Amino acid sequence: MAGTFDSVETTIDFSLRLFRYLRKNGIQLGTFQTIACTRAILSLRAVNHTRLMWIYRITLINRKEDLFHLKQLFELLLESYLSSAADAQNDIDEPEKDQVITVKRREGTDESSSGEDDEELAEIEGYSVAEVDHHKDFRYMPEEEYPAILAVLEQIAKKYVSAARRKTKLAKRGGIIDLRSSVRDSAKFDGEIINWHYKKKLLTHTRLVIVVDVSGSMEVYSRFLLNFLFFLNQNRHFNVEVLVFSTTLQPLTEYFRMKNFHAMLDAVSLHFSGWSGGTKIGACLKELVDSYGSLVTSKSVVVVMSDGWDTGEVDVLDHAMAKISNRAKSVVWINPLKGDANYEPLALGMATARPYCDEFISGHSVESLREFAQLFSA
Amino acid sequence: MDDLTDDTVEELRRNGYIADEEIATALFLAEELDKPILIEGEAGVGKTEIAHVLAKLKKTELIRLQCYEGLDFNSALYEWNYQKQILSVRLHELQNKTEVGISDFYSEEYLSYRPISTALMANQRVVLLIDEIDRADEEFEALLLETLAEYQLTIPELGSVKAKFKPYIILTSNRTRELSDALRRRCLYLWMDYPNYAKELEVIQLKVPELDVELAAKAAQFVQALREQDLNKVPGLSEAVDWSRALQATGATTVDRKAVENTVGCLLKDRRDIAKLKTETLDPLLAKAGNQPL
Repeated sequence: MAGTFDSVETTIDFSLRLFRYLRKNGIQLGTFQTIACTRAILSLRAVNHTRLMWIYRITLINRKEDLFHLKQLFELLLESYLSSAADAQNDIDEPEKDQVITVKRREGTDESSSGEDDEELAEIEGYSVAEVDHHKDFRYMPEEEYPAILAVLEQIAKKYVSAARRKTKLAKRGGIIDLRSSVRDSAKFDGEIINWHYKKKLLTHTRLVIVVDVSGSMEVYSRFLLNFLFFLNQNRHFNVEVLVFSTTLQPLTEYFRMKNFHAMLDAVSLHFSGWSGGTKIGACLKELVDSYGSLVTSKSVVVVMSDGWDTGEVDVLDHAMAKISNRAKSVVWINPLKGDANYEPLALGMATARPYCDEFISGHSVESLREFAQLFSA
Repeated sequence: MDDLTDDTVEELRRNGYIADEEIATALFLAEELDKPILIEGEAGVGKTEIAHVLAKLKKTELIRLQCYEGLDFNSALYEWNYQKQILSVRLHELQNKTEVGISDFYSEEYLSYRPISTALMANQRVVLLIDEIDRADEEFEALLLETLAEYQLTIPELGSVKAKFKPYIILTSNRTRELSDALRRRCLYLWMDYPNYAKELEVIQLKVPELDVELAAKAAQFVQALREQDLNKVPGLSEAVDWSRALQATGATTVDRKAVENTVGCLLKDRRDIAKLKTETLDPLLAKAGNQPL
């Protein structure tokens, strides 16, 4: 990247191509940015590639995640741009558009030399920051897409944990003086403030108790849900208790305080051997009520994530669910199988538990996890 | 271009800030394009410091708005001075003045200035630092948009107030939550990483000139190695400087176990990190940083 362009005009030409190329590859660029970038190049007369890269970083990109993509895409485009410029010297009459065709030739499709240059640009091989499909079932996602999915989940989680809590409401006593409201009221008494008004912050203290099935059939989904919860939990205001179960129940909340998700999983696996095993939903929910009863109160929302395949006795599950739905503010069941349009809650465990649930959602894709987050941020 | 950014780097250095050319370019462009800069990065890498140095460099005032949850426009933008309004009404009443109208009480005289209106109304180009914007609520970002893009503020009773001198606006964020795209779009972006060894050493030498050169190098090496550990709270540049100062103050001659244990509180701010360092990682770290464990 140590080279330079021969003139500012070339720099601008290259930059315009880069804008289009970045947009094609899913980096959002507004005109605000592109205008700023062009003005920056013109005012600095920038031709040096390294410096140009700084300008792009400063003006075009506005989040850290994109810095890496920008560098990759910049280098890819620069390489093909320079090689096509070298070709052009052989035939100066070659139209502008054909420069781009060399870009396409790198893919080995050199026969077709016409077509929309927009598409050609997009076809530089080897790199894509394509959007994660928000509706696709996690089960069908290739493993190499996991980091991208997690990044999206982290973004969503951050968005929801920042749900506003700055709203205030009029309070009868306590709180701080609401001067504006008091003064407005004083108009009635000729500017004399007789009734002081007070305001209090609106609190949204719902405790979430999340019970996640980590048995074999649920592994993929529970992994994403746990990750999602982990992101949510990194916010100090968020009040969540996490427990996992397969054949036994294991509280995870204290491990959730750890900074690194993988380190947390390692620590947990030392104490919990039930990963990817069979399922005893009824027994585990009973244990939740019996041993961790203090978690299930009228202020807590209990969320169970499981596909409902229970190898234990149905009666136990029935009793446990009845108790939970009695005590808790509400019960949400997340069943990834629901993502399938033809799904009916027929598995015996699910059929038993379903009537006790206030909400029944799927949690099988990015979009459904967003819906889940919406449930408790509202 | 070389000269322009090199000049800025040099000027920043003279004012006690070691900047690389990317930072210099960003500051230069912010002035050239009249755009705010959004600076993101880990805690303690010198984000806020940039604003201080910029104010020093431009020989102007720094107006700082520290963001926090629940920050609203009354404390950030402007507020009507209710007490003064009511007192005025009373006074006019006592003096039997009837020729005043409502609009008289909604004039600039009754406006309480807050950081943003102060910065816009100032009689020179000031530096407006909006610190840790990620701590404020999402709605608050929307309040800033007008100021960030147009350098103006609309007060319903008064109309739009346009800045006489466009302030240099610097926003910082620790990324505890995602900032809105609308805000990001209006700003230049600068990502600041932890410094590399050379920059860290340079900063330590600049900030703690009394410290022995060799010791400074060892301290920088140690901090660099420490950052690679799995820590709850990774020490930033400011911690490294504090620590170097502590080493100097305690009269340490080399970075060894005793010196580190005496001063570790400057470097690590988490109980578990400190315990882990003392029991497990200190010796390998000292070895790695080229010091003999004692």
